[in-house]
Amino acid sequence: MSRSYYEFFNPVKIVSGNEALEHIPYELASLGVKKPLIITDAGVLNAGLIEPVKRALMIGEVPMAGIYSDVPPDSSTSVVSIITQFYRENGADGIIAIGGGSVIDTSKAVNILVSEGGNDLLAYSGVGALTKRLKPLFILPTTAGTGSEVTKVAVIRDDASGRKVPYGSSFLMPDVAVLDPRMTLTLPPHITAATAMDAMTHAIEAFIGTAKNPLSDAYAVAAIKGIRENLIRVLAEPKSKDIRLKLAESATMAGIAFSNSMVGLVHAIGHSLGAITHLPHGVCMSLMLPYVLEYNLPQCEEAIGELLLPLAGADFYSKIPEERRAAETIIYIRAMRDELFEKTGLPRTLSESGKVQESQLEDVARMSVDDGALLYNRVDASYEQVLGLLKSAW
Amino acid sequence: MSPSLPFSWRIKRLYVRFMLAFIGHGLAKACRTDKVIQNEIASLPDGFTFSMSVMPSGPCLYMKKDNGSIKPSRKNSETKPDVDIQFKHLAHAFGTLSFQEGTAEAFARERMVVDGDIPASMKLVRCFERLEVVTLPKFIGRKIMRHYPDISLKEKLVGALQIYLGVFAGFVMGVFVK
Repeated sequence: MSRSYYEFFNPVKIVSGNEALEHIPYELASLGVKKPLIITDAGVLNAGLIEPVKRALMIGEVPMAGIYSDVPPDSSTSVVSIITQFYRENGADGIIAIGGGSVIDTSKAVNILVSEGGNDLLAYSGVGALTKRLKPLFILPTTAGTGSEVTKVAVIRDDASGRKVPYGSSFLMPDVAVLDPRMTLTLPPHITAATAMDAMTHAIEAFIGTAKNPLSDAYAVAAIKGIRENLIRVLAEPKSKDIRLKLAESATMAGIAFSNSMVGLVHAIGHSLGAITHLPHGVCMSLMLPYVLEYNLPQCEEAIGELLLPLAGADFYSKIPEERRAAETIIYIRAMRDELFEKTGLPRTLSESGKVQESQLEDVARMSVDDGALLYNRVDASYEQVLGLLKSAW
Repeated sequence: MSPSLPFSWRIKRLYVRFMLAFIGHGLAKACRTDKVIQNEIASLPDGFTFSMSVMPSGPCLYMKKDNGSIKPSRKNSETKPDVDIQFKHLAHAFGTLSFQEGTAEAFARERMVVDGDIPASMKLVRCFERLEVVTLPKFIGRKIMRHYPDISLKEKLVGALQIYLGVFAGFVMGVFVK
C-alpha cells in the first residue's frame, strides 16, 4: 500500500472583489474589533492606497487606533517593538496590514507580541512556540505575488544578531485577506510582472514538488491558469480592475498551494540570490524558473507536462503529443519570460539584471544547498549542480 | 515503559531507540572517518547541539559538537538545541528509521517537525543520507533517496566497517539514548 499522506490547511477568509474594502467594517465587527491599527509603509501611503481603506472605515463608523506607515523593506525586531508600543498606547484591538511582504511579516510579528504580551519577539521564534489564537489580523496585499496573506510564516531580522529569524505557526495566518483591485491598480509594470512570476513559481513548484497533494494541485493549476490569462493582459490594460483582481486572486491561490505543498529549488536559489545580491525576489524567480524546470525534467516529466494545459490552454495542449508536453511547457515559460522582458524590461539572465557579480555565484550556490526548500524539490542538488544552474542563467 | 503499550509497539519503540543510538554513534565515528560527513560537521560551530526525538516523550537522541567532533550527549533540558527534529508519532519514526520512506519523503509527508537553524538542519540531512549511502545496501539506499551518489565498493565496505565498529564501540561505552 502507498505511504501517501498529506496535510492541507487554510483557515483564512478570502474577501475578494470590487468594493471588497467596504466589507471590512462588517468583518471587523464579526470578530469583535472596534479599533483597528493600520500598519503599512511609506510607498503604500504615498501611492494613496490608504485613502479608500480609511474612507471605507469612516463610512462604516469604525474608528482607527492609528496608522503606522514606516515599515522598512527589511523589517526588524526594533520596528516590531515600536509598532507594538504604538498599538498598546492607542488601545487597538486588531490589525489591518496594507502592503507587500515586509508589511505583512511585520504585522504578523506585531500580532504575536500584542496577543502574547511582553516585548521579546525571539521567545516566539521557530515552530510551535505559539499555542493559542492571536488578535484579529486583516491583510490587504498591495502586490499580486507573495501569497503571504495566506501563509503561516513570518521572517523578521533580529537587530542584535543581524540574523533573519523565522516564525512559523498556523496562528500567524490572518483571519481575513482582502483582495480589492484598488490595492494593486497603481503597481508599475515591472513590479506587476516580477510579483506575478513569483506567484507563478509558487504554483509551479507546489505542483511538481515532493509535497504535492490533490488539494494544493487544484489551487496551483487554477493559479497558473489565472496568471497566464491575465499577466500579459494587465500590462496592456493596467487600469483594468477586473484583470487586476483576477491576478490578485491567482496569487492568493498560488499562496494557498505553496503554503501546503512548499516550494523547491527555484526558491532555494532565489532566497540565496536575494540575500547575497539583493536582486528582487520576483526577478530571481522569473530568471531561474526555466533553468530549474529543465534540471527537474527527468524526474518530473509527467507533472511538468501536465502544466501545459493551464499554461497554454486546451487548444494547444490537445495538439501536443504526451511525450512532448513537458518540453513544450518549458518552451512556453521561456517565451513568457522573453515577452515580459520586451514589455517590462524584466531581466532574463543574471548578467542582464546588472545587480549580480559573477564572483558571487559560488556563495549563492553554497547558501542554496542549505536552504530548506531544497528538501521539497523532487531532484536533489549539490553545490556543483546549483553552481552549474547559476552559470547557465548567467 | 507504558504497561498498556501492545507488544509489537514495544518492539518498534526498542527498534527506534536502537536506531537513534546507531545514528548517534555512527555519526560520531563518521565525522572522523568519512570526508563528506567531516566537511558538513566542520562547518557547524563548536557547541552546536541537535536533538532527534519522538513526540511526546519517546526515544531521543541528543548530540553536541565539541572540539571539532560531534558526539551523543546527555540532553540539557534547560537550553533549546540548535536543531530540534521531532517525529510526530512513534509510527512515523519507525517508518523512517526502518527505511520504508526516505528523509525527503518524511519531510514531504510532514512526519516530523523541525525547529531551529534550518541551514544546519540541511547539513544534518546530508549527513544522515551519507550514513545511509555508506551503511545500507545499495538497493535500499536507491529506494529511499532522491539521488544515490557514485561510491566504489571499496569505499562503501571500508566506510561501513569503520562506522559499524564505531557504533559497536559506542554501545560498549554506553548508550546515551533515553
